[in-house]
Amino acid sequence: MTQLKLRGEGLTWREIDHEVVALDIESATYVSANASGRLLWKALAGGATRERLVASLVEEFGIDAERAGADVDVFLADLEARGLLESDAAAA
Amino acid sequence: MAVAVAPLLEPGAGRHEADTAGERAVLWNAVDRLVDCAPRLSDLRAHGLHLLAARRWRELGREVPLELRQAQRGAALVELMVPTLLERLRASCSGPLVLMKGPEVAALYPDPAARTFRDLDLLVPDAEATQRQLLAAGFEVTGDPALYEDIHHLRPLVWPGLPLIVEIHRRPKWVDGLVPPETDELIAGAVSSALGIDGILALPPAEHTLVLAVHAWAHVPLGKLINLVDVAAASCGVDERELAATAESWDMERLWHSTRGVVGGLFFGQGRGLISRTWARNLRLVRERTVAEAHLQRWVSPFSALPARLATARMAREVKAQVLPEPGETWSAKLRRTRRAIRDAPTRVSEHDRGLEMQGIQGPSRKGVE
Repeated sequence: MTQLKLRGEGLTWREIDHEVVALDIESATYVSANASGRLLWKALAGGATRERLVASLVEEFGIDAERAGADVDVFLADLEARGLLESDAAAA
Repeated sequence: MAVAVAPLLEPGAGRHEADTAGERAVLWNAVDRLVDCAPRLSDLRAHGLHLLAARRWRELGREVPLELRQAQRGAALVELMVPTLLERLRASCSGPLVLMKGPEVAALYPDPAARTFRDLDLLVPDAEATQRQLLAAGFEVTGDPALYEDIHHLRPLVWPGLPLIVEIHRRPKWVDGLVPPETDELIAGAVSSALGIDGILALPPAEHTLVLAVHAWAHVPLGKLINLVDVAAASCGVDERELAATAESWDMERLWHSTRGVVGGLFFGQGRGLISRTWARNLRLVRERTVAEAHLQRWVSPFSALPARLATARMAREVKAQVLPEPGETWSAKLRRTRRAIRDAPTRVSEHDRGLEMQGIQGPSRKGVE
């Protein structure tokens, strides 16, 4: 299982009101994540597998695994597109 | 081998910290009470307390309006930017960089993101040389250059892509008529910043408190509660005698005495003095100043901050400015404005100004005058 992790360098973030607000210093852009995104974000900050992320959404929000999986995939794709995830090699 | 434990066991060591923590608890409870009695969100905004209100309302389980949630997000982002920008500034120039106000005082708040600011004020020994180094390193100037000629700081700088503004100061902003302390003297006494960033300095607590006190008078005298919260937060744990002595050495005893009285009345359960019962009574009501209070403030506030002779001259200037038409204004237009101001005497200044605009009445060049 691939370990996924948020980029450690040039990315700073904080929680505020059940959300995450993050600043990508390298590109000078910011992102915010809602309550479910916050859950995934915090897990990714420490490193997590896709399966673990799906399970956390199922546990927290009581949704089925299929929908949780789809949400996780969209979230990860967005992070990947923004260059906020460490590469597989670096995260492994 | 002797072990030097004595300083750690000195009687009273730790008591100072406990006293400071106690003072801070009193302060933040008082701020909560003020937030609770604000009549309108617009008043909280006018006083810069809106993010403290959002925090308070969340703690109480009250719904936080969308506009405040958005403002909180913006403030959180600014807070995230500060270390990066300061590190970049530090790497881009030589010499001491002394951070004043903004994030340095926000660090004293229960949540630094509850204290909004939009710029970093840095005091340096040679502002022009520092500005040149920063421009060479990639910072860019912003704003109309005409606005920054011969004032206390140079034209603002930004780092491309980041919205925080950097102002390189020749000296702190000061009240007209008083003389600021020497920049070299301030820099010589600087200490490490509360933000813990290598190479970034700050003023010691007493000096910073007084700079914040002057700031609370420099634009509109005691115009915003948040500036007084800053003074109160910075003064927690600072010896009163040290503050008084420094104020005396800076020739600002009257301003400090007045500020200290208002701060004591608002946050530390002390009695309300004349200022808090007259032109600044809006502070304890957490309301924007009315037209009548704004007039009174312009006439009499100089006596609370300046030496008597200077205050008298300032009052005479203010009265003249309010009684006579502005350059190019006819007497009939001036009388229309005056009638409107009398009618709006109990109205908040911003509402009065909006009314003037809606009626097409040429407002004063100085807003809130009449």
